[in-house]
Amino acid sequence: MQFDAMAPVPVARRHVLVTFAMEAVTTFAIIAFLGAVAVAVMGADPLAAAAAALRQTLAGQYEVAGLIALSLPLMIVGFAAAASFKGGFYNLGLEGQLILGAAIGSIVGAHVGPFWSPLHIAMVLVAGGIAGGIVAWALSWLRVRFGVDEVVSTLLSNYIVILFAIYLATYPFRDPTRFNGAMHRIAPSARMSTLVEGTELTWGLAIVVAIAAVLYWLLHRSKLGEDWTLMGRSPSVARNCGIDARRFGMLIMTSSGFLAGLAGAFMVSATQHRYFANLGLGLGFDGILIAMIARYRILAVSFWALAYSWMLLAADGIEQEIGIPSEFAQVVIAIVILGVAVRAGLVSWIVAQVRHLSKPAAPLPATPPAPPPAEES
Amino acid sequence: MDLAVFLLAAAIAYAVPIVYAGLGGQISLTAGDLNIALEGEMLAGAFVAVLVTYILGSPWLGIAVAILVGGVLGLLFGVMIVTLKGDVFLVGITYNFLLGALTVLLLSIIFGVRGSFSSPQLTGIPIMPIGPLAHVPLLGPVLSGQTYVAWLVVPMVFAWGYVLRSTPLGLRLRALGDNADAVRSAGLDVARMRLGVQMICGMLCGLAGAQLALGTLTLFSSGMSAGRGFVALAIVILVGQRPWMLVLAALLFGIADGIGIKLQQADVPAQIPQMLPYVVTLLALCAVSARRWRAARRDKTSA
Amino acid sequence: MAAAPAPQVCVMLRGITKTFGPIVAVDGVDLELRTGEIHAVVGENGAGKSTLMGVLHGLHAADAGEIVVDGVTRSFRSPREAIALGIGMVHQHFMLAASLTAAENIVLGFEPGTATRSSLSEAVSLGRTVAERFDLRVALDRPVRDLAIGAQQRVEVLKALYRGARILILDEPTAVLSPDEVESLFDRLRILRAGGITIVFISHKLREVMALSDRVTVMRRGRTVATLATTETTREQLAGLMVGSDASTNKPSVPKGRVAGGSPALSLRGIATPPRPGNAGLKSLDLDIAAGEIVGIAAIEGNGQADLLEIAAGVQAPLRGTVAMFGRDVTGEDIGRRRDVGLAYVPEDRHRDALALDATALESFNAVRRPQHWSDWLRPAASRSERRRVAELMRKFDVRPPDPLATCRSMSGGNQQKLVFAREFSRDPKVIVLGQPTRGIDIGASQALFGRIWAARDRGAGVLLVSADLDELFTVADRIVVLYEGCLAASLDPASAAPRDAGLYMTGARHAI
Repeated sequence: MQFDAMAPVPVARRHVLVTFAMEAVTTFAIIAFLGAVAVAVMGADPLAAAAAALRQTLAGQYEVAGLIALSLPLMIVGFAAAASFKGGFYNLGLEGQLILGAAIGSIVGAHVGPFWSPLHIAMVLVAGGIAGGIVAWALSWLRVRFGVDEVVSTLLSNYIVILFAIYLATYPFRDPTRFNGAMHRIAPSARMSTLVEGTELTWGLAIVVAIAAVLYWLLHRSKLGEDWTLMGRSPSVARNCGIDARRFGMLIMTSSGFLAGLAGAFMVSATQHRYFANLGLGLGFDGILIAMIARYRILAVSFWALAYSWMLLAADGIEQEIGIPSEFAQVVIAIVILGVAVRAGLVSWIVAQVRHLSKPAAPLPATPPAPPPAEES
Repeated sequence: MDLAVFLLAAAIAYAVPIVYAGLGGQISLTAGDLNIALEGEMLAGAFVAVLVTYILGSPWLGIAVAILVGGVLGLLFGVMIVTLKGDVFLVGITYNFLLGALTVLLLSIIFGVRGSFSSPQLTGIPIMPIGPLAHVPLLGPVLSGQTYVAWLVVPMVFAWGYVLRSTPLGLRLRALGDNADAVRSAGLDVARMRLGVQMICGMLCGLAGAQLALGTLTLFSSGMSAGRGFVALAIVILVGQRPWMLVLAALLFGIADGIGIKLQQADVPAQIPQMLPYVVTLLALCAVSARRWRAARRDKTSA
Repeated sequence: MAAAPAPQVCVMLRGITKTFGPIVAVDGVDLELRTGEIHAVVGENGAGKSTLMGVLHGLHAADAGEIVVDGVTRSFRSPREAIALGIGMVHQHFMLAASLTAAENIVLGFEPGTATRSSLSEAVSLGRTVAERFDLRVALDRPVRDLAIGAQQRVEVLKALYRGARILILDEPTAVLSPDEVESLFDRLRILRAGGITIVFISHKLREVMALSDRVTVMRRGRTVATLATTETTREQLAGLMVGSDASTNKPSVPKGRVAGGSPALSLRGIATPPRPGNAGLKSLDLDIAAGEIVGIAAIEGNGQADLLEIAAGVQAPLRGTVAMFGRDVTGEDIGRRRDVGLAYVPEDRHRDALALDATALESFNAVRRPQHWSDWLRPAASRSERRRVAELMRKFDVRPPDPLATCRSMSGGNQQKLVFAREFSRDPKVIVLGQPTRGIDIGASQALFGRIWAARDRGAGVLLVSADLDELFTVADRIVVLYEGCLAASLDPASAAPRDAGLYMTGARHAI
């Protein structure tokens, strides 16, 4: 086997933005196509559905502002998922961490202060982040100390943490003027001020942009990000290169939990203004899906959070105008993400089948190793 | 006495679906795959059981179709992780999400409701008469209210235990989870074995879902599996390859759930007792992991 | 030993070709096996030996050519079909399920009894019959993980025989064995030959080939170069055929290092690590390596050398004892800190511990750079000048392709190891810790790596070299230390001692210290 003798094959490296744009357009086209098929199967006109979708989401500045407002917490929780998955940890407890962050943020917003508004908002966000961070830290500690597999422990933690948050809203911090399970409204100084009048879009947009920029630098450009990625690729190599894999692993999990908690507190400060029992349910898993389809790249997460929000709103619009239940959008998205998750295997399987058909006598070669996921660089 | 009867009955009600899903998970883990799609496959089974029972009027047909659909879903999951080499966790999470959304969508399309569906036309799984046993104190009241499917647990666990320990198939499954290359070099088709395992796992999850929706209650509500698949998975990790320990652990968590219900009636804030099964599972997981961790550190290089 | 008087051909391979993607692993090979012979197949790593045997065993399907077994042309689609024709294989990495018993492993896939009831007692008695016939005794009812390596190999052989193998392929069977175990394996293979079993023995250790085989086939670059009767050839001739010239094997004469004065480059004092099943750990080990000295560690797998590597590198902390570099106590410092003061470390397991396959060469270089200050974490990971520097180093160390953005996965094993060497040796290390530096690497690349080690030694570095290859140790090291059961068993001068002497100490047959 003369690997050594093989001449280096010159590979043309496209600019990352071009690569990403092609990938995004293709994926989105597949989603749109599957969505159209789903609508047609359910007996409606795909063109009418598309028109309804566009009317509901992109008709004017109010719709666009609403779309962006919806996507902001999804972006943060998507960052949280991307951070942990990129570092090789499956933090599936984002849902609970987000909700606890919302509850704690809501308490700080309502019962502490009022202060100078930017300070108060920062306190709400940081308190929520710390709450989520503590949960993730504790689970990562169990992993490091006792070897408790984080996949199962984080999944179970969701139920415990969410019930605890609901308990907080139902008993100690309940707003008696509201029906069961809602906290007091946060002080005006803890609320983000509106950016576009008459919509839910707030100055929180600037905060999310700043978070994205910082995370992009930290995870994709800096030395920290390089070690973070190495942890995700091989913890034992990281250890042999001098990284303290246990502490670094705890850092990865805790940061991810912090971001998830921050996302919850952000929802409270920006739009909801209080925590109540159903707030944030499902958002944690939405974030995981967004991170997966973006393949753990921060800028791609931003894009896909926006696209995901658009799809949710579009599905709502289609439901209102045409009467197709909006969940069809989630089904389509899940199918596409499954496609993304098995993409490499699917491609090599198809190649093998084609080769098999074109050369029936020859046996199948061993499947080549899956191509590594592309990285933003 | 009443409390004991209540707790045991509640424990069995809670445990049966978990045992079925857990059996699926145990078979899957024995063959080397940690399957986190139990949750979604169970939910799909519950939906199909309710749908078919409602339309055809027979819970037995409902169960049969739920098992069938579960098998197809399990096979599909197997294709994604075995044939297409997808990451088992990533595919599993997404699969759970997909099946959750799909059940809600179909609920809405077919029954025109959101959230939950129940109907007087929906008959539950019949209760197995136990004859004179019903008069035995404590056991009588506990056992007399159990469905045929609940009773089926006993022969199923016996059968699986026998297959695992005493048949060529069990030997091959254990070898597969230990070192797939050993099985491959014996000329056996590893991929086909894993696919088969996932299919059986899916069928068991379908059955678990049917019992969940047509056993103690007769309704379907969105997300009604409520983490039971994850609890089953945690139990499988706890008990390893011991089928009866699976039953025992599921019953213990069932008792924790029953205590929770009692506490709720006793004016304790509802959420605290509701947490109980999950907290107990997590603590048990820590205890067992800690023991294994220490043992592993004793006899392996510090990895 | 000559072949049987009337040679009877049991297997013919004709024109076998097998490609993996663009790589032609086996190229039109002919091979003929005679009943009841021991047939050695020799060649460098990557010469195609294992692929050829994979074809014969049904693991790979050939792209072209035919396999004739007992005069009938066959084509195998799986090992099961080869097994059915009596072709069994003992892989270099054992194909055993560690938690199952030896008997269960032996019958796996061919269980006695019915589908609903496998009879393990029958399995045990069947296994025992075969074991006694060929003198291959093992504890059949013990889990395989509790058996010694030699016993595990016997389980593999038994497995093949139980499946009815008449032709037994052994892939580098001696790589994992002590010299003692090698002798006993050879005795058993001779017994098998006397019982009419045909044995294919894959190796690159010519000494063993000369001692055991009846005929030898030499492979080079996917082709057979020659098939010779062992009695009519010599080691030198075989070595020349293997590497493609008449040059003798890998014994260049190299001036031994001069040991400089001063404090030792690496000093281990009273090092102890906990013993574990299959690994003796270290028992109060003292070892000094002078500046400008290469100390080779000879030991059979599991006698403490793995711990020694990790302790010296700082990946593992010792239970007791101290580690010092040039008189400075570094016991409490991890590998990152030790690298900063001049450590280079090449781990035993390249893919597990040295390189992440999906990382680029540039990232692999950067991975060992430890930030000194928190602000270093925030700095850009790779500048343009960094990239140029890495490209230059890759060229200097002959890593192909010399592209800093190529992933490690796209490189061959030899180039990956050169990349690791480029990373570790480019920082002018003073203490070098090497685990199996040439495992799985061909002779040409190995020679280049040896050159690097000698050059660093001549610049005054102290080198700790752990290798399973005694010939390599005797070629490279200035002093050889034998570990047995976690203790120093001997210290040998490679100029005056022979590998055979080391073998005696390695197996505990002799004890000097």
